[in-house]
Formats: sequence, C-alpha cells, structure tokens
Amino acid sequence: MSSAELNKCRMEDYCFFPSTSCGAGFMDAAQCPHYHGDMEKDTPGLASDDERFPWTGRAFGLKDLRFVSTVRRPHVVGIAGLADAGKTTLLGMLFLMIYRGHRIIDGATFAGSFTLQGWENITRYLQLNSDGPIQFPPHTTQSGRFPGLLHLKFRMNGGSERDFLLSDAPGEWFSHWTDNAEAENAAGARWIADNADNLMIVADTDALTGPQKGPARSNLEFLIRRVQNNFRKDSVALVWSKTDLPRPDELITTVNRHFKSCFPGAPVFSVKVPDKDEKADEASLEALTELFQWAFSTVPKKVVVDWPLASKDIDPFLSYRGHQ
Amino acid sequence: MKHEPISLLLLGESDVGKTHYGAQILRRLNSGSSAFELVNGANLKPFKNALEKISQGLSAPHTPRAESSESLWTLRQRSNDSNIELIWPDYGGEQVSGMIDSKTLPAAWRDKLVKASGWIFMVRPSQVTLPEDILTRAVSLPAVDDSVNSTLSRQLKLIEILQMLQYKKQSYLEHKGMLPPIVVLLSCYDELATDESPDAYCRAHLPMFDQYLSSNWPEERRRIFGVSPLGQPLSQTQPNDDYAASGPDNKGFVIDEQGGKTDDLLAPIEWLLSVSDVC
Repeated sequence: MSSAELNKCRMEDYCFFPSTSCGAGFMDAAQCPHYHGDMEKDTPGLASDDERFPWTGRAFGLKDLRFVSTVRRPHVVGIAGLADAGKTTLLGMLFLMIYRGHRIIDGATFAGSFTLQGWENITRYLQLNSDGPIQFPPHTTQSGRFPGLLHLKFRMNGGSERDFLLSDAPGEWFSHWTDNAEAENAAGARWIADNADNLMIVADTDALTGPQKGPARSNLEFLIRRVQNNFRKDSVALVWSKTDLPRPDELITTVNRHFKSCFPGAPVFSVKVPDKDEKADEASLEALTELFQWAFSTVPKKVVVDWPLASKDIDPFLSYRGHQ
Repeated sequence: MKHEPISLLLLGESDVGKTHYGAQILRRLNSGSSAFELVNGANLKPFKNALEKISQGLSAPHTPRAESSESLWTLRQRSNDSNIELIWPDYGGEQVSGMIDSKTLPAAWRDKLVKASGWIFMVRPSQVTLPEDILTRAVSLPAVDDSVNSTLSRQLKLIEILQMLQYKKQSYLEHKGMLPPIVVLLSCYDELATDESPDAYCRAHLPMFDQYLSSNWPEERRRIFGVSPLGQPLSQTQPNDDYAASGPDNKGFVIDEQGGKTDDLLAPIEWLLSVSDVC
C-alpha cells in the first residue's frame, strides 16, 4: 500500500494523519472536515485504536525515566558492591517486606510501582514456588551501559506522592570502576555515581571472611575510596550484608574506620536475611527497615560558602557558592 | 429531567463471579426486594443463561473471552422514588488479564473507562494466596506448585490492573480530578471460612494491595465488601436440587466493612451510587 493510499486526509500536503496527529488539530480525526475514509478498514488486525501503556512492568531503562520524572525528579538510590555481595537480595528483601505489608517509611504507604514484573523477577527466588526451594537470586548479568532501575511510589505523610528508583547493577561494573574510573565497561557504575541521591556500599561478610578475604578487603576499601572521589556527596552508607556469618571484631573495626575516614558521620548498617527459626527475627527486619528508611530519606547537602574570615563585612548571602 | 444512564465499570479476572453476581442482582432487582426495583430491563440476554442455570441449582459456564455485552437497566430507587439507568457489563475475564500481559487498552475499554462513574473490582481471595517466602518460611517447607506461568503473581496483578486503568482515567480527565469511587468485592466469601470482616481480611491477606488502595482512594471513596453471589458453591454439571427447590432468590449474601451480614446483594452498588459523582 502506498503512502498516498494510507493518507486519508484531503490536505495531504501538510497533514500526514494517521502517521501523525490531525494537522487541523482535531483530537478525534474523524471530526476533521478534511478527513475521509475509514482508518480501521485499512489496518485490519493492527487494532490501531488500542492504546499502549508507557511501561512494560520490567526494570526501567534510560528512556523510561522521562515518564516518572515529568512532575518531579525521583529519588534515586544506588547500591554499589562487588559481585555476589548481596545487592539484588537486598532489593528482593525490600520488596518482600512491602509485599507483606511492612511499613518502610514512617507514615507512608505503598502507592504503586511501574516495574512490578522487574521486582517479581528478583523476589521469585526468595519465594517458595514451583521452581524448588528458596534460593538467592542469581548473579545479575547485564550487558549495556545502564543499570536496571526498579520503581516504587509512596504516598507520604501529608498526602503527597513520591517516586523512588533503586539500581540493580552487576558487581563487575563496580570492580571495573574501582580499577579505573574512566573504564569503558564501568559506564553503568558512573551513571549511578552521577545520579544517585543516596548510595549504599555493600560489604560482603562472606567474601571478607572467606578464602579470598585479603583481595576482597582491599577491593572494598578501594571501592569506598572511589565513591569518595567520584560520588562527592555525604549521603553514603556502608552496609554489611550476610551478618549471620561470624565477623571478627578486628575486621569490622578496620573496614568501618576506613569508611568513616572517607565519610565522617555516615551511617553503617548490618543486615541479614531474617531467620524464621529465631525469635530475634524481628530484629533483622528492623535492621532492614532502618536501612531503607535511611535510603529513602534525603540527606541534607552541605552549603558551600566562600567567606574569608578576614573580611567580616561581606554579606554571607553573597558568598553562597551552591551545594556540595 | 432526563439523566444520562449511570455506567459502572465492573472489573475482574476470569472466574471471580462477575456473571453470577450480575445474574443474582438482576433477579433481586426483578423481585423488588432491595433498595432498587427493576422498572425495565432492555437486553437481559447476557444473563439469561446464568439465570437459568442458577435456578436449576447449577453454576453458570465461563463467559467466553470474546464475549462483551452490556445490559441497560432502568431502576427505581425506593428511597427517593427517582429512576436511574444503570449499565451493567458482562465479559470474559481474560480481557483483563490480556490487558496486563499486552500492556494495551483495547479501544472498547476506553469508552467504558471514560463513562464509568464508579468502579467495582471483584477479587476472589481464595485465588490470591501469597506464597511462602524468606520472611515466613519455616526452614524446610515442601515446594508447592502454586503457579505454572511466570507472569505476575496474583496480588501484583490486582495492583497492576488498577494502576493501568488509573493512569488512563487520569489522562482522560481534563483537570486532574479524583478517580471514581471504588468498591472492592471479595467474592466467594463463603470459600474463605473466615470470621474476619472484609476490611480486616484484605489488610491481613492482601497487605500490599490494601496499601495501594488506601494510598490512591480517599477513605470516603473506597469500600471493601465480601460477597457470595450464590451463597454456596454449585457444580456446573450436578444440579443441587435443594438449592433449586428453595429458589435462588434467598441465596447469596454480602458482608459489609464491619462484618455485618445482609442478603441484600445490592448493598455495595447502593453505596457506590450514593458516592459517585453523577448522583
């Protein structure tokens, strides 16, 4: 079929309906005096009247961001950590807690998510279903330059809605990024460092106490340093994962000291998968809630002022140099 | 003054009891025992088969996927002696599941969505059990084959369909107005064998869906009822003679939010009409 046949508008020099909207501005092109013919007859099976939705349910890619950031920039939570540190499991735990009605943010209720399928793909492994016993999510493999982003919407205390995005990125990106901040295959990690509002660095207890504990520790310490240099914000937390495993005090002290020297005053969390057999199970859930409570909160930025002590006459208002 | 007929959007996946509910409230309307009385019913055909089956003590067959019909009922409201016209739809529930899978809104649904001044969302909780997970398990539980496909789990489907329609409805509204009021019907409530009120049941067993509802509809514009259109399960092939003998008019019940039981199957509709924008 030629394009001339497709064009059902008599003003075909300037109107290209149905390829574009009606050139004369009619919402319903059938109302347009220049329109003739029945579009549906031309495109059987295409169901051209059906309306698409702007989300697929899977994790967001870069293009999808526009759709949740039109009204207000969403709050982005980055999760950095080396491979198998438990980044995806953390996300899965968060979603399961919401799935079971736990309140993550004080006074806020879950109000929707445009990536429900993406969440389910992660949490399926933590649920008991036909796939067999509960296991941890498989290694996040992702080619490309952009992390998968999972979306949550909450109705906040006071009635306003707030969108949140959480990154799900493979650990290798952070290894490459730690080795070389400009590395070609670290683009995804750079995106997170550039865009995250809050960033968690995951310390893998299993790796830090395992046979490769030496390299694991130095990799983690260099990752912390990389975050300090490239993230340039205070909203960073260190998250010890898998803390059901024994951790030597000395290890905790050294790693925490290094972290605190890079980010004075930044919080350190210890989380693990709750053990239903233990009565103390509530404590693990509380630790997770505390972590996400922090992740979803806005850490106030430092105000930079250029205010030489010598000249006391300068108006502090004029010495404002933006936020750090 | 001539009013536009009031159209209600009835939502529900397959096998939640949409046709049974439609047939039973039609019967109630005809007998004139509720707050409304049927003055005129044009096109009763969609429910004819179901009405016949139920009066024989049988359950009605599944409504085919392609089936989509609307029945226009003129009702007299006893309280103020006014007439309203109600459009009651019937369709195969796969249409709703299909929307979730394809992420498209069929053109026919656009009109439904634009016109509807109230939403009725039927959920059959016995079909929406949450799988055991890492937060609830005892260490070794036998693996249960609870879903064959890897599409969205049931609780998430409930949220997805509502947020899809919510998104479209809001895009049609010229001013970002309020969503139409919603009634959630927990159907086949007799299957649940619970003493909990529908409100409490939803909060305990569908917690995420419950939070989604309360986040998106103000309290005065949402209500959760339990409903059992038939009052008890019926087979599609083995007629229940006792049921047929005593007549389906007396069967079926509604549980209101606080747990009060009534045989007025129209109670949820009455509430919905009382808060919908056109009345």
